[in-house]
Amino acid sequence: MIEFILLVNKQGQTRLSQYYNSYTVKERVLLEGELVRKCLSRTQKQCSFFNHQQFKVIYRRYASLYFIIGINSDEDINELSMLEFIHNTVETLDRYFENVCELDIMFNIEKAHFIIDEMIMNGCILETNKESVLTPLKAIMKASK
Amino acid sequence: MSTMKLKEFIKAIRNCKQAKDERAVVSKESALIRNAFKEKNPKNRHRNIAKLLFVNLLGYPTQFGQVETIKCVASDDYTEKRIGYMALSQLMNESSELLMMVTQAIKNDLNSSKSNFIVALGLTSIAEISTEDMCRELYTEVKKLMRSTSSYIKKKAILAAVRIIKNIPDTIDDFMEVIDVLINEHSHSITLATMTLIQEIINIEPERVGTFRKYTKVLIKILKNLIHSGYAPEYDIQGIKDPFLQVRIIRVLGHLGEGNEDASDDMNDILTEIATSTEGSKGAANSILYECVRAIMLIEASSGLRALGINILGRFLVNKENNIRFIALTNLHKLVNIDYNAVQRHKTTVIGCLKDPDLVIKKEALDLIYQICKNTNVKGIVKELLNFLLTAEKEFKEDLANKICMAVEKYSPTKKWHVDTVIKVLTLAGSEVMDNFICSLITLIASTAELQNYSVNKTYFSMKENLEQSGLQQLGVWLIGEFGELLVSGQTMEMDDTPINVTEEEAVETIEKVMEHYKDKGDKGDVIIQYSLVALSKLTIRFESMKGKIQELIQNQVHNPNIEIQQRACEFMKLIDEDWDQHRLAIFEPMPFQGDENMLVDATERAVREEGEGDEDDLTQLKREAAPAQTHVPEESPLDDIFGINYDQQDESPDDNFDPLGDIFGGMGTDAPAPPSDPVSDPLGDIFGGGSATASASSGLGSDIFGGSPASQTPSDLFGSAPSAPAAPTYIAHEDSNIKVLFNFERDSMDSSTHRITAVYTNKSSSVLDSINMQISVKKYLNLQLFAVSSSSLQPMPTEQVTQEMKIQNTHEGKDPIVLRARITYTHVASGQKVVETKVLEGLPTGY
Repeated sequence: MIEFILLVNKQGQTRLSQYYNSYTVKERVLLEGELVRKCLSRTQKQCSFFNHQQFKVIYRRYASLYFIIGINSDEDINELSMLEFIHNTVETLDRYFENVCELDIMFNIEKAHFIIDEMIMNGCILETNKESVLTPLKAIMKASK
Repeated sequence: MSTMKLKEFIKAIRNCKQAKDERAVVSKESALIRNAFKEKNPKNRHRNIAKLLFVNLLGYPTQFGQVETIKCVASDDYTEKRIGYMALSQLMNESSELLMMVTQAIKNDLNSSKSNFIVALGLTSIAEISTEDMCRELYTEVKKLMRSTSSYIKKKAILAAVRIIKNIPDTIDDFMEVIDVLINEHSHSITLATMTLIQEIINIEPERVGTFRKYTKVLIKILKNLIHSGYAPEYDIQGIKDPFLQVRIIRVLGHLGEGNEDASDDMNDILTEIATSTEGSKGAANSILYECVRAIMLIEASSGLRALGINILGRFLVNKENNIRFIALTNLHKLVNIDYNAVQRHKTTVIGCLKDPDLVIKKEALDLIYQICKNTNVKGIVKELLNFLLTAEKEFKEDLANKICMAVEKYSPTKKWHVDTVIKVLTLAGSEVMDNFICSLITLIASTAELQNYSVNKTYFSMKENLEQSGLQQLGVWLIGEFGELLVSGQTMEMDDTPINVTEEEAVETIEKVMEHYKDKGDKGDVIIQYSLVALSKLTIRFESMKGKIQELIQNQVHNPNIEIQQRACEFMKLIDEDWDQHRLAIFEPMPFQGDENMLVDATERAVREEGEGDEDDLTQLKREAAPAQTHVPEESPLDDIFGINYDQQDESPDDNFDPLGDIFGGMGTDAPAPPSDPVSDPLGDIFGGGSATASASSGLGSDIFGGSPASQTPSDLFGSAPSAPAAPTYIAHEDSNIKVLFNFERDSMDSSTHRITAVYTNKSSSVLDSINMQISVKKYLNLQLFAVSSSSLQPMPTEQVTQEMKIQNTHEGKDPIVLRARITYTHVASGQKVVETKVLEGLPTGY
């Protein structure tokens, strides 16, 4: 089970976050800050996993954006599969926004959430087929026009 | 003033240069949104909630929007409903009391016939925020939706069920029959969700695995079909058919095969196929191979399949991508307990991983290397690790140094190697090594007589060159304090057989330098200063000549800002005082060690310290060499006894509040462990060996302690009970025209095999005799303690006497007589003639 997924830029500003368990605002701000610092201190050559507090952290960097997934340490996960899943998420966002960038996500935060909600539900992977993820969103956008 | 549009708000935030600007924008907008909510104007509600999502993301409070969120959820307008649900998952959590209010709205939405999207919103909120109460209220709806005709609804209902069974495990039974149906669905996302549900049920109630085992064949078939299916662009990743689903199914298969031969046999073929035919060097392929290896390690795999799995890890280990190597290391770690030899084969490669620039990889590799260590290979491995320690960066040094120490402590084949290796680690990374490793090394050295000389010399020279390595200084200072006399004995040879000459002065200077260096260096430094103080105090009895210098060094610490050091220094100053002359020897006597059982394989053998030190020549050496073989420290720790007697003597001590031993040992809190002190019923009797069983074993240790210093009274005098010995026999050891040496014999009151001899020198000439000395060597069965002459010069008067005490223990008492070889030297001052007389003394009186 995924505990949280974060999109954070190099300046340490969170652009999207979904937590699947309750955290207070304070806890989140602290955690996000520490995670970004750790990610920033790692080079491209270093591996994409590290432990932070009770979490196994899996992250991938895309230009100036870090996609970070946290999973409880006692959970037996397939880190490589998670890494693929991050990429899958990014590709899905990319397909919808066409060359997705930080600003797309900022100004369309609702849609970004919608996409993530179609892919992860309560920390479980729901859908990896990009078309299946995007069809409901496209349908809704069409209907609301 | 009306609220901004979402885009404007985000732009305003982006334009903020400083955190305080951002705070201002957010609080202003939050206030406006709050007002808008109060006005109950639904016009911009949707927009305002969206802004709250952003405010929440920035880390500001948004509780004031919760009621409005619930209104949105209940709204008839889909756009409002959607943003409402989104805010529900993002802004609220399970503990929010307001959640009960949305239960009915969610129930309505689950039953909505208007749109699947509305039903899906309800399911998502159940999956993400539902409480136990909500689950009870809604789970019949969820169960129904798991049989929906729409797979879009169905997959979400399955994951909502995951939440429900977590909140209410009793409901698992209700979902079991639905799974029977779901397992046969041919849809990627349904199968994926079903696997998640099965896995969750197994997590909650592991005994359910038995029930699920009936799906083994179905799952194998699904997996087979998946691998052999045609190209499906939406599910193919890097040429691999839906790797996420494959991973999920293999995971469940692993659970089903665990501890079950039949199920394991069934999946043998498919796992073999996947392990051999999954191709590609990219992440997707590797994620499947990795999952396959995990399943192989979990199930009752055939030997062929297991070898295949181990091969995959071997390949991973040499992969150039760090992520893959990381996976290999963590999994080899898990494999160590299952198949040690298979892991051990990769030893060299794993050690090579220590060169990696990535700390995460290095730490993982180090953990694995430690796991591979065994008594048989520890030497080789540690040798390699030491090379890395030489170049390791700061962050890694600590881990590495302590792991080496751990491996050495656990697997060291010999004590010598243990000592050598830990000293080497201390030399390279002494400030990183944890205290417990230093303490256990001290225990080891203290309890192994044959290593003491070696260790003190080796450490002495290393510590002088590596002042920065605090751990090394800690060890070195302790060793000098405890075994200082071995250091200055001049007996230790270098590799090329040249003797090592360290003077007492140099040794004390070294401690002085250490104290100087660690002055005002924080807690760690203070610990070293405390070690130094204890060492210096111990040296007062070992290096008599340096007493003045030592006193000065301790005096310097009397005003140390650290209260602990200050107090120790004051106490030790007091101890140096001549009031304590008689007791100091006992207090600073080498510590008998009981140490750990596994370290004390060899009985502790330790030479009884000689007082007549300083006049080192071949004769005394003879005696010194003979001594250790004859004497040994009793099993029962005499330290207890020392404690005892001094507590008793407190009344007589000059300062009633001064409890020297308690403090000394208190002060060494960080020092080597002292043996447990049992209550001693008769401390006085014990220390003097009065009839107790320890008496003979301790070779009169008690009397040594107090009979030690030449000026001191005999123990019996001290306690006023004069021995009822008959008139002491005498023996003329030597007589010439100038001098007469008469031996007065007296048997030790406690130990009949020990003879106390007082040599009385009288001057027969008319000149002053100077440089009077006598050295004695004995056969091995005799145990000699020779004290210094009371004065080295004699006035030409028959009443004038010089005495010299000695104690001889005859271990062959009654069998062999006491035979001494004596060398008497003196200078006839008037003629300047230097006389050296060497003679064998036989026929000494016995049976008195």
